[in-house]
Amino acid sequence: MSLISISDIDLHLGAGTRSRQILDGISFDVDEGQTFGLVGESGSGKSTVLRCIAGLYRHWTGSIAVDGDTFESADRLAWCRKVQMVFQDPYGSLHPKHRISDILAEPLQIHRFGDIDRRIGEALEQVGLGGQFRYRYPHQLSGGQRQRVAIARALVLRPRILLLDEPTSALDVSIQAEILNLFKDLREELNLTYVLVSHDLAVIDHMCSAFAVMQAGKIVEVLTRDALDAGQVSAPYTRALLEASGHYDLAAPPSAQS
Amino acid sequence: MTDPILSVKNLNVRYFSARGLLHAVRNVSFDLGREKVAIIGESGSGKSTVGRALVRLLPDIAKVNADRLSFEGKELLSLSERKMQDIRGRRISMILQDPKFSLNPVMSVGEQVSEAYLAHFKVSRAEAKKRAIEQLASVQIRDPEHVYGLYPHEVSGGMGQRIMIAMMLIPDPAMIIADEPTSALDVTVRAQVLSLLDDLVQRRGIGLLFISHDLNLVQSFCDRVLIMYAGQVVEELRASELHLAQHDYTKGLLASLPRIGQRRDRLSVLNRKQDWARDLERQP
Repeated sequence: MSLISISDIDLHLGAGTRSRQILDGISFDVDEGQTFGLVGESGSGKSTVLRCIAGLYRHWTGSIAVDGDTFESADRLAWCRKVQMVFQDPYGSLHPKHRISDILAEPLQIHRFGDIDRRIGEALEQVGLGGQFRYRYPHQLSGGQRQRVAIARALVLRPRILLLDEPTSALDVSIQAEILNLFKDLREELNLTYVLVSHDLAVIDHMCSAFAVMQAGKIVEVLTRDALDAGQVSAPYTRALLEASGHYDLAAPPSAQS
Repeated sequence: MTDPILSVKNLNVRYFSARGLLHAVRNVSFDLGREKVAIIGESGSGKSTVGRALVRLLPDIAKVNADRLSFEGKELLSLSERKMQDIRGRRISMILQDPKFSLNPVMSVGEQVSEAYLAHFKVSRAEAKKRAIEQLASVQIRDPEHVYGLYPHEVSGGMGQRIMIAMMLIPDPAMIIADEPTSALDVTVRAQVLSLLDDLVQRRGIGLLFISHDLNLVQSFCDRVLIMYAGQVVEELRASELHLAQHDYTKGLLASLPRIGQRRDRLSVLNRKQDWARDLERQP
């Protein structure tokens, strides 16, 4: 059975005549231990899907189930302990006036965990930051270090699922490699399942065994990594995305017809 | 190269602040002809500072000096601010990263384009408006009369960036500095903006200085690439020969990129060496 099961999600935002349908019949399943990708241009609704899974939007219709429990039936706090999110911009997602220790303690306090000090140390350790970062403020950290703090904050509740919303697009490529490696290590170590949103097909290809291509609130097609590598994409939009993202890497194999 | 538009030799930028001296750009030298030259580097490497130093847009605490900073035969650093205004925006234009922050939110986009024309030419408002609409059409904006009256929040990111480009092109510059012009855009929109810039270089013979951190993009788009690290140009390559890079930093950057179809369990991580930041030799 799949760990995350999403079927037929519709979402409207705005009221009355200004109401817009943002998501239209989104369905996909993610197995435990898998990384599932969502790719598409901005406004296609890929981040919105994550926000629905995280419970940041609640007025969608359809069904989202994690580990057999549906969103409606689950206890809100218990849901959050299972599903955590890492946001795109580590400059915006950390409170500038809170120390790293406060940032990591907050979710533990909300969820009434004991042994906070030890858990903070452990989370920092997991993301490769030492104890010396504990009493610093976000502005004293580089972009990559901040994103590690954001990851630690997501991990501190010991979730099973991480929702990653463009986690490396605000970072330099050399730092991106470090963070993507960290995600892979953590997935093995903690048996995590990821849903990864990115506009970069190369990142999706590197991280995900399968992914959905989204356009205008709909899933255009679901592809496996093997299909992508073999150039077996059917939707014209996916092909356009593939050509725009890194055609120079694909020019070599004869399967890529031009 | 014969007859470069811009020639830079040993450009240095130093910031003096209460916290001491920061030598942000060290002995950067390059020529720009009618071509697309990229400056690549990570955040803090000084690539944007170079772009801004060329048009003298750095704050007063920055001290800029160079053995040569000549643009169309004029020595930019010795010009008066008054003379510089005839060059900045008129002969050298700058396209910035995010159209959302660089367009004036309370002025229609068309007025902003015609303002750019009025600032440099003595023409009537009606004439400027006509030119602005032509210019909007030339950056492939459909229905330019309609778009002229829109406000920045009413246009998409891709259109906003094309409006910025229209604004920069209307005084007919000889050189464009594009500072991460496409990083705020989607890949599909990015292709349109790039083909527009490409077309300008081909057709109008403009020199394009393309500041970016996106190696893949630069490799396929530009003619030459300067790689900056810690304020210095550590390597210069033809874009088509980027894979022949010699410097460990460039090689490390290339290896750290994920690529479609290249299954790797882990991406290689940059192993920074102290050595990369040491002073390189000045050009004589």
